[in-house]
This record gives sequence, structure tokens and C-alpha cells, in this order.
Amino acid sequence: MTITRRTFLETAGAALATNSVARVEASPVRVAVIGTGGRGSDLIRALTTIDGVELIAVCDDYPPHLEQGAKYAGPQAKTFVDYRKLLDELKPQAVVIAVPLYLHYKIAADCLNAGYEVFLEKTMCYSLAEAKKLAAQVTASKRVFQVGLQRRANAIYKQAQAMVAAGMIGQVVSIKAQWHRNNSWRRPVPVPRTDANWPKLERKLNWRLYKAYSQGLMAELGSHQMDVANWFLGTHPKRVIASGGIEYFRDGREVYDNISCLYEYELKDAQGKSYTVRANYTSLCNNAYEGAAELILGTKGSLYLTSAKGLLFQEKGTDVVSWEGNKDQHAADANAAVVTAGKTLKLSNDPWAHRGAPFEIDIAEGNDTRDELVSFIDHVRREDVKTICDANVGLMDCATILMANQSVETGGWINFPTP
Amino acid sequence: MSRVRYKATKRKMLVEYQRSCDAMGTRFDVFLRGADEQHLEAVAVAVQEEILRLDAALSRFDPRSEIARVNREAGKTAVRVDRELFALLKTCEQGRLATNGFFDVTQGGGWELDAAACSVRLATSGVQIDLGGVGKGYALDRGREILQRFQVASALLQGGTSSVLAVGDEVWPIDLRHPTKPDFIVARIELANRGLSCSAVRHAEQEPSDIVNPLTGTPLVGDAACVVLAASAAEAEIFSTALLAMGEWQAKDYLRANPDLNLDVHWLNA
Ligand SMILES: NC(=O)c1ccc[n+]([C@@H]2O[C@H](COP(=O)([O-])OP(=O)(O)OC[C@H]3O[C@@H](n4cnc5c(N)ncnc54)[C@H](O)[C@@H]3O)[C@@H](O)[C@H]2O)c1
Repeated sequence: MTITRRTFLETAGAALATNSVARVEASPVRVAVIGTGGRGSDLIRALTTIDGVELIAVCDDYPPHLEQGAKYAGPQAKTFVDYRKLLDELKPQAVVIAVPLYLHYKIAADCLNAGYEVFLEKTMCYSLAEAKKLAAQVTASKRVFQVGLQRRANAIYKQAQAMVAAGMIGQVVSIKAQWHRNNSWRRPVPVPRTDANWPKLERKLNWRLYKAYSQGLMAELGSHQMDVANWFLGTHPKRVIASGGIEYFRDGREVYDNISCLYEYELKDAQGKSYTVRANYTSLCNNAYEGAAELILGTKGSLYLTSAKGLLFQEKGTDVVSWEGNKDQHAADANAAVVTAGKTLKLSNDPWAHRGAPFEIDIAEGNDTRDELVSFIDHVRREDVKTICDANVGLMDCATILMANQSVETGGWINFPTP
Repeated sequence: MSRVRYKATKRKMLVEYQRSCDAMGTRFDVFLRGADEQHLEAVAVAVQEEILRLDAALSRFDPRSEIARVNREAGKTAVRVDRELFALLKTCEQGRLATNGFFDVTQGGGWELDAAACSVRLATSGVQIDLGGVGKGYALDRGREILQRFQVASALLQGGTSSVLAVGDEVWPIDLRHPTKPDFIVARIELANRGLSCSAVRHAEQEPSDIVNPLTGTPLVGDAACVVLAASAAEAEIFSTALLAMGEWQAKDYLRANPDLNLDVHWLNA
């Protein structure tokens, strides 16, 4: 496949939208944040740096977190313990939701019903039934809705996706992704275990570890990376088989401390013949050697991707794209190589000789959490429902990760659910 | 540069937990003492995540950081920053004023901080913010807040073996290594409930000094090191940087003129 200049311009255009917002001097967008824990605090800090955002309220039902959120938000933001009260009293224009997974549907649905635009943290919903209902509600409401899968706003991923779409790594043959780290995945609890309040606080703060509130590693980590697979392959998986368990952290948790999944995607080649791409996904809590990354493996090259680094390794002995070709900026030549927005591709050090020297996608200028919010606010202002991560993307992502958990429980292949 | 060694006497009934991570171009260690190891691990991870979060926000080398976003607009526009970063920049400005300009994260370049707009504007295109002289200490101070919130009574946090924060009443002995003779311990400092920072003119591997005299714009020369103990690790770092830039004799006059600073200062000369 050839690489067109349009591919590049489309990629670059998304980055340019970031800057245009700063110039807008229209009335500020009034935003409220519900859930001011770890992620909510990140989002609050980012929102307070975006021109044209007025953070009018923060809400959390856990006082220490509300206090922290209020500190980051500033004195103009009112504080609420009950989000329904916030919605009634202040009528924000947009609501940013960062509560535990099991509350995503209820709070997002209430906000949409009340007529507000919604930014909802990933994973979209706790169950597929909820995700389907919410997606339908979003469509009916015509509200701006975005799911917090921030790689969709990350310059490296956007560029890499354009490179894959342009055929620069040939036919994708396999995807390997993992999120490996080495810690118990526990949040500290502010009272000793002997305290009568400990069990309650443990479940409140470590909601991730309990099945009633959480879908475990797949929802908290895998959702980001399986969304990359769905996005780059342009479809959802056909089926999955997965295995997981609690093998090391036997501390009362209910969600697996490790999981391995094999997904199958069905694609069609240029002749219309179908072929299968297999994606391996693993998550570990007790070995950090491989870190968190996605590898997109193609017949002509491989992409190694993290939020901070994107590397392209070209397969040796294949018909590689000429990076040096067509230096003329003005040539409307469809064979022009994809170039990055005003930056050079740097040759990096390479510890693995057989992989060849990588090219680095060197365009990471901006934080993807901030950029996804800039984009959301921009869509709110323009009343544009085509967000960078809309309800259908969120629904597909949600179905993709839930089917792996289901496979672990049933012990067999699980097909992608019918719509 | 002088190195810090840490060890403390074991106490019965308490478990110890240690974790390390790489951040701010160096290594951070978290040592915790308490009754419940699972709790200590969770707290240590929370402290580490805070340090890594601050590294990502404050690094001038990472184009995704908040500081890089500010630096890119140098000489152009005022940049709206979050309240946490603004408060830290404000602390730096207070440090600059308190040290007659010898601590200056803009290396004498100048900035405008607008509290109402929560924004910062760097005076000219050549000015860049470098939080290398305060970031480690600030991260340790934020770590202390987490330790207090989660009731860890005794802990030692260190970054880069040059910034140390002892949390709690327990005394942690800190050995200071000679700047150029690594086997030679020059002094032992007993640290409790305080921050310590050691700034040295010359790093063993590195010449010239990465500490610049902001008033002259030139890197420091010589072999001196200055150790400061203060109420917080950020303060200790601000003053160890500034006093070293002043030089021992001017610093001594300065400290005599400002007795309220409540600092303990040690000088090491090779
Ligand atoms: N995009 C990312 O990179 C990313 C990173 C971390 C977390 N997340 C997502 O963000 C969400 C929150 O995760 P977190 O790590 O911040 O968890 P957290 O436990 O730190 O924060 C959740 C907050 O929601 C509050 N809350 C619970 N019920 C509430 C209610 N009824 N009303 C108001 N507040 C309520 C809790 O008190 C808590 O403060 C999760 O869905 C998680 O998957 C996303």
C-alpha cells in the first residue's frame, strides 16, 4: 500500500486542534468532576490548565478525597458529597466522571438524563448490558460523550495508527501486549486492620480487588491496550480464550493477579480473502520486566508502543519504505513517506541486533490525559458528538475485555457478543 | 559528591519495608517501619507513584511534562498551570527572594507569576525553568504527607543520595561520605523529623558543576559541599543549593543575618 500525504495531514490535524482551543475566547465551558480519587485528581489538575474551562464543582462521597480534589480544583469549585445535588444545584455543561467501575453506568446515565455532556473514565461500563444501554442512550440524547481511553489522544499512537493504516508495516500478523508490574495493586487504608472501620474502608479504597465493583486487570489495564488492538485492526476480536487466577497475592482479593488471553481477529486481505490475526495479552502483578507496551507485528515491520515512546523496527530483507525518499515538501506525490509533524525520525540505540535499528516516532509533545480533555472540551464547545473515543468505541472495548474474563470463568472460547 | 548512607537500629515488633524506583534521573528509596507489612507495601507504592507522577510533571527533559509546556512558551505567552505546580513555583520564588537571588530556578532569567490567573510567563525566549534544585525535596515532602495520612510513624525517604527526609521521631543516623574519597565518612548526622540536602560543586563523574551562580551565570568551581538540615526536604534543597552558590564565607554572613531560618548547615571541603 502507498502512503499518501493525506494520511499525514489527517494525523497532524488532530494535533493542531489542540492549539486552536487556546484562541477561543467564547464563554467558558462549565465543568464538574465526579470522583476525585487518583484519576479524578489527575483530570482535575489537567482541566485547571485548559483555557476556556471553568471548573465549577467537584464531588466525592469520601471526605479525604473530596478535600484533595477541592485543593487541586481551587476555591471557585463548590464541593458536593452527592452528585445528584451537584447536578440539580449547579447545572454544569459537562461532567467528568472518575468513579469506580461499578458506578460508571448509573452516574453517566443520570448525567445524560439531566442533559449534560459526559466524559466517562474507562472502562465504559461494568457489564455489557449496561454498556449497550448507555451507548443507546448516548445516541438518543445527541450529547457529546467520550470515554477516557487517552491513547486515542496520544500523538505517538495516532501516528502509529496512521502508519499501520498506510501499510508501512505491511500486513499485521500478530499483536503482543502486556501490562506487567511488581506490586500488590493495593491502595493503603488509613486505619489499622484491627480498627472496626477497616473492612468498610478496604472495600471502598481497594474496590479494584473485589468483583462486585471491579472487572480486575482487564478493565483497569487491558482496556487501554485492547482498544489499541481494536483501533489499529479496525475491528473487534472474533473470539478469545483466556486463563487467569490468584496465584501470588492471596490476600483476600477476588480478582485475578495475573491473566493471559489469546484473541482472534478476522480480517480480509486485498483480494478479499480472510485471515486471522492473533493478539496475545497478559497482565502480571509480580514481575515488571516487560513493563507496559504493545507490539504490532507486521510483514514489513514492527511497532513498539508506549505512551512515552514509539519505535518502528523494519523487517530486514523486505521491501522497506524509503524514509529518505521525497524530501520535497510541496510534491503531491502519493508515494511520499509519512513524516511526523515538524519533527525528525531519530535513529535510536538498539540493544537487540536482529531487530535492526529502530526509527523513533518523536512527536510526543503534550500529555495525553490533558490532550484527551482538550479534545473533549473542544467537542463540547462545538457541540460535535464525533469525539475521539465515542460510545461505540467504548462499547466495543468493554465487550472485548469482558469476554476475556468470561472465558477465564467458563474455561473455553468466547465469541464476541452479537450486537 | 558526598554520599549519604543510611541505616538504623532494629526495633522489636516492627517490620521494615523497602522499595526503590528510578525517577528524576536518579534513584529514590523508601524505608518504612510499622506493624503491618501489607500496609507498608501499599503505602510505599503510593509514595512511589507520587514521586513518579511528580517526575512526569516536573521534568524539563520530558516534552510531555507540565514544565516543558511552560518552557516551550518562554518569552511568548503566560501559561496556565495547575494549582499544585503554581504553589511550587511560588515556593521557588520565595526561595529566590529569601536567598537574594542565589536560588533561582530560572538561573537569573526571570519570570512573572500571576496568582489570580494561576499562570507563569518566562521573561524571554532563552529562559527555562529547571526544578533540579528543588524537585527531589518536594517529592519527598509529598511522600511525607502520604505517610502521615496512612499513619506510618517512622520512615526514611531519600532521592539521589542527596535529598533525605526522616519522618517521625525516630532518629536515623546518616553518614556523610567524603566528596572525593568514597570510603571516608566525614560526619554522622542524626536525623529525625527533618529534611537534609547535600549539594556539591563537583560531581565525581561530572565537570563542570551543574550548579550555576544565578547572579553571574557561571557554573560553580571548587570542591566544596554544603549540607543543610531544614524542616522540609524542599527547604533543605533550596538552601543547600543557594548557600553553596554563595560560597562558605558569604553564606556564613548570610546565615548570621538571617537567624530565623532555622537551618543546620555543615560544610565539607575536599
Ligand atoms: N485513564 C486512565 O489512565 C485511568 C487511570 C486510573 C484510573 N482510571 C479509571 O478512573 C476510575 C476511578 O479510578 P481511580 O483510580 O481514580 O479510583 P479511586 O478509588 O482513587 O477514585 C474513585 C473515587 O470515586 C469516589 N466515589 C465512589 N462512589 C462515589 C459516588 N457515589 N459519588 C461520588 N464519588 C464517588 C470514591 O470515593 C473515590 O474517591 C476507574 O474507572 C478507573 O478505571 C483511569
